[in-house]
Amino acid sequence: MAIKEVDPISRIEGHLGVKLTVNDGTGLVDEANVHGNLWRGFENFLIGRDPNDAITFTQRICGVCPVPHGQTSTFAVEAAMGYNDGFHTFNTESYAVAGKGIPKKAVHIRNLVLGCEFLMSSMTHFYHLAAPSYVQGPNMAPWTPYFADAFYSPLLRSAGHGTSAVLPAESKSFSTDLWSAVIKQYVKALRIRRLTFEAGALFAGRMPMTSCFVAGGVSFQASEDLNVVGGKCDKFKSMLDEIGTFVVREYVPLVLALGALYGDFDNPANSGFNPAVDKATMLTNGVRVGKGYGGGVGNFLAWGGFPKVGALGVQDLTLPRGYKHVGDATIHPITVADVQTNLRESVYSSHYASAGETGFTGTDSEPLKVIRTVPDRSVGYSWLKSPRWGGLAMEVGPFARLVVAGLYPVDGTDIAAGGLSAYYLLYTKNGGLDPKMVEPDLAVALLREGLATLTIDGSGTAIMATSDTFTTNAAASNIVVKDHATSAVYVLDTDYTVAAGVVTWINVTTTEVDITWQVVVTSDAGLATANDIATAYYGDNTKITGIVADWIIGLSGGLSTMDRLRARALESLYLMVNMIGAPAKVAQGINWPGTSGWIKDLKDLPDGAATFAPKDYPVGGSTGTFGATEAPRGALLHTCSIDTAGKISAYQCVVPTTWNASPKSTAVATSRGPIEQAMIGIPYAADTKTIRNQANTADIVTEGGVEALRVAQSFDPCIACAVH
Amino acid sequence: MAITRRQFVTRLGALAAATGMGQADISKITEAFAHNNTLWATKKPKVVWVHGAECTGCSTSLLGLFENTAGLAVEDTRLTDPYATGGVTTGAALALIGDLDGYALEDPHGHRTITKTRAITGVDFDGEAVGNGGTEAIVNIADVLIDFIDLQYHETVMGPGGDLAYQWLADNMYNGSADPFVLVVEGAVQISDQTAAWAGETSGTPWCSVGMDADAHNTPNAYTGQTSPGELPFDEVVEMLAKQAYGIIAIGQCACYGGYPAAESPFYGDKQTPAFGVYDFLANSHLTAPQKATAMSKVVNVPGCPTNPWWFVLTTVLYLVDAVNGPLKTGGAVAGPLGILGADGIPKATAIDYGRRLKHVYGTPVHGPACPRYKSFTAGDFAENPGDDGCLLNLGCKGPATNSLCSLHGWNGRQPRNVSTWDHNVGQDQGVRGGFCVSAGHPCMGCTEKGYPDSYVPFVNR
Repeated sequence: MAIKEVDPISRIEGHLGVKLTVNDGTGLVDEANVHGNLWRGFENFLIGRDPNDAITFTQRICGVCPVPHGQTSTFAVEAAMGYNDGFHTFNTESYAVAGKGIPKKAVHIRNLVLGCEFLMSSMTHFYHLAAPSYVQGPNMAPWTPYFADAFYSPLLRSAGHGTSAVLPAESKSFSTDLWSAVIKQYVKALRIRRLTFEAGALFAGRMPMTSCFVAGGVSFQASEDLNVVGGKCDKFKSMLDEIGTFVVREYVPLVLALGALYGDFDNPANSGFNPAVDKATMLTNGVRVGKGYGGGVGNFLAWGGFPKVGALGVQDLTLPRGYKHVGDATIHPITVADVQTNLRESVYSSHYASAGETGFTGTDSEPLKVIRTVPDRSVGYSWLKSPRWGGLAMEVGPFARLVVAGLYPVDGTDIAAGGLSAYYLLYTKNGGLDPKMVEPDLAVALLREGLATLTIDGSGTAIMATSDTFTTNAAASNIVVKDHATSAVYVLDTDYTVAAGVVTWINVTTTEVDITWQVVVTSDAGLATANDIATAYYGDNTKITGIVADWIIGLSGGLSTMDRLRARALESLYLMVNMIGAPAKVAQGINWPGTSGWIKDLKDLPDGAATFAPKDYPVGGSTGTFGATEAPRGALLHTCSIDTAGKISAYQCVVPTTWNASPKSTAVATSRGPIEQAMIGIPYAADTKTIRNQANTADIVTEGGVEALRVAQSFDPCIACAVH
Repeated sequence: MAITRRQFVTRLGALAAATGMGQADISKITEAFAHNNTLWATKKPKVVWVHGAECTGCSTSLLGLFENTAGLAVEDTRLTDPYATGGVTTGAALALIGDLDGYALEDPHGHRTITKTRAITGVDFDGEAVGNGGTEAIVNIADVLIDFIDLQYHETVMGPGGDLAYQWLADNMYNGSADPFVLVVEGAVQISDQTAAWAGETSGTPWCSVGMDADAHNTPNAYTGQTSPGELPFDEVVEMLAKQAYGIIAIGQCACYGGYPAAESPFYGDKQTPAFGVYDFLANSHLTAPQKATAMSKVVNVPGCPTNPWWFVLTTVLYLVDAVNGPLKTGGAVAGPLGILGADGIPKATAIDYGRRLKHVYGTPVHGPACPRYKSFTAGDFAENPGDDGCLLNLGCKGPATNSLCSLHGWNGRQPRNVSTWDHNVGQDQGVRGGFCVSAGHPCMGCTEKGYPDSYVPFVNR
């Protein structure tokens, strides 16, 4: 047995490490102790404060996901004040009990701001946090030093792209390979994530750390005319259009494709590439398909989120509430009484005292009754507590939400047959992928790598492939387009000029960062009937086939690292549709008609509709109530007690990553938290990396641990949240 | 897509102008950046960014750095109210992004190419004429990372992790860095061997630790020789790096003044952990007296909760330009062109304020004509409840006691015009700046000031 530390687990929020026990024989992890390494004491220094201030304070628990803390805190304070009966706050117009709820406009604004946060968080997670564990970044700090090359797919290494400190050019040219396409998306995602901030800030003032939530509604000015042309609703919609197109055509396809290159981290149902058609480059890295690394506990919990506006009951949420046990298909509902009965926290493995007036009683404290959190640095191995549901560790997050909502299967069945089929099937056409749903730059990169084939004549014959014969002067690395209907062959050189002089591909509308397919047809070569290839590309008979397309179309849902990444991306798509309505396929891709969605509902409200419903703090105080909703990383619950002076007397937060990264809740090893459980059975690869010391006098040999990083990162841990 | 240095500098210069910086000083930025004479000609400055008792909000905010670079200086003589301008005088350049005349030209996203822009001053910040046309490029945090700084360590964005990251950091800490570097600290520093409320012990698990050797449980530590497995405490990281750094920049309220981790429970009346801002931590650290004095003198604060990306970039650039062009430049001690650093290499009291913030960046009160509700204030119209029209003073607005560029420059890109909310006495400017707390109807909370949050609650009177 070897004991190894992987600490810091980087590219997450906060300070997390894991102590692994590696089996000498198998090289696999037998035991894992996940430890959070920072404590600040938020719950304690809230005591004695004005309850409404908790909304601002708790946002500072985490700068990556402040909005959900603000919203959950709002719900918790509202619960203590009598605006709701636990969990969420619904709107006055539809809430069944008089004197409760808040104005519709406030519900919409809260949902939209939180939705922006979700989109920001999910895209940041994939591109800027998780992806560098699968893709070598540009060959310079902060993306270097890389781990040993063996950890990366050969298609996702920076080698061959020069050692100079450059990104792939954002220019007219399409990516020449998959690595460049992915890095381009990485950079573009920086812009898209900022757009989510800008969109949210229209109603929230600024992001991160919003300042619009108050108990009773939002502070947003009721008199502001949201219907004005070019006003905030219009601007919000136009930004979300761009974000949505990125989600649909870049984020989702790339995430779905990633498992094809890292099969080990996918679930066992996604195996079975025919080696005869696999790319040699993939095989050299080993198509270790479907080992299910990072599966985790398989128990899922969601408090649910995004209350709907309309005539509805308290369970009517865009993302439903419920829980599910591993191996059991039943999805159980959750009531307020269930929370009181089933929600417990253990400090068995934590650096906290469990006696005296803390309210902690060892392994099964009731968060709703805990008074304060007292540190004890001599005990435990983590600053996280261990929340348990009916004694069990539960995974929370986008994966859990989709499972609980019935939108994502974990039993090895096809995702396309699951609850998200209406969206998932938008990607399929004619038995292949629909080019309208895939950014051309990514499609071109896949084509050039030989991982996909474009068919545009509907005959089933691949007509864009480097193996096609042709008589022009194209180099082997160029893309060749052959129209089997006319037998015309077009060779696209690096500037996308057809060598035969028929069609010129240029991007006349290129901005600094956008690539737009545009074709200018020239007739001076005498071929007056030259095809408009762009039209053909997006045309009715087009499809993308090949191994990556087959992979994406045939994906099954299960328990693995990749399932967790996929669920996060698919949830973004689901949320987009709820925010601005479903996308429509049009001649040159997709657009967003906006005929439904929260932003339309907000815009349709009468001018001057209220944003705030006043209410006083309860005379005589309030205890034992809570607010709970969903953060990007999962189920988030705050409980707030108010004393007779109208001040906070106790405040506890049960946070998504506290669930996911929790230490063992009892002396029994199987009381592992979800991330600990997900580490069991993964390799601790021996591939080391040697770096030069700063003084340039000696080498330092460092160890891998990349598998543990990938598994931990797939949960998108946030330790500032988890410990607070 | 990388922007040119000149575009970057132009953008910075425009923002610097908004802070009231004189044209002569602004041109110094250009000297350092736009021409091949100093900082970036040979090597990008090395930056080591460490995270302590923090929430990553400031990094998250900075990652959102992304704006038009044209940064045209728009002549605006309306902002002459001394309450608002903090040194911006009649006729001075007010850097607002966009074209006051050309709203129709604005891309709906506010960040796309604008093909027609209007240069008011006639020259940009390196003295070259600005044409009436031309397109903007876009500045993105990726450009900063790639072209302007050499960010060697930053837990949230760097490629390495686990042992690879730990070894790099420990090597720099204990064996010294070959290259001079700027230390950026995000988050408060908690002193490992001090107690906290209710906790008697002075040892044990650190309040915050940032890494462990992969073989920590098997072999003595290669750097410290310690035999027991030991976490790398954050306070030790800051001590070891602060000794070496040629500049220390504290980003965010927590790193500057302790912020939330240093907040006291009004009921129990005690800090939960021994958390301090970097400057105060260094005073309480294990460094020797001369080491303390040197390290503390190099601290510059960029507070905010979180810090606006442009405040950080502007502060960092001004500081670096001064450090490289001025007294810290190899081969001679000359007065820094910006005058931030004295001949001894220490920030001058005339350049930093009581909170060690650059006066250029933090010299403007939030309360003033640039505030969208200032007109209500002068009219005596005050909001009673959240959601109401009117000045937010009675709701608890801390704008009069808070200095930042929030109301002048704002956050998250430009917000659209809206007759109902942006109707103030610089009415024509509405729609050309970003949002901030007040634009969402929320009182300013004072997050750039020392003493926040404890001295600034309740945030909303209700």
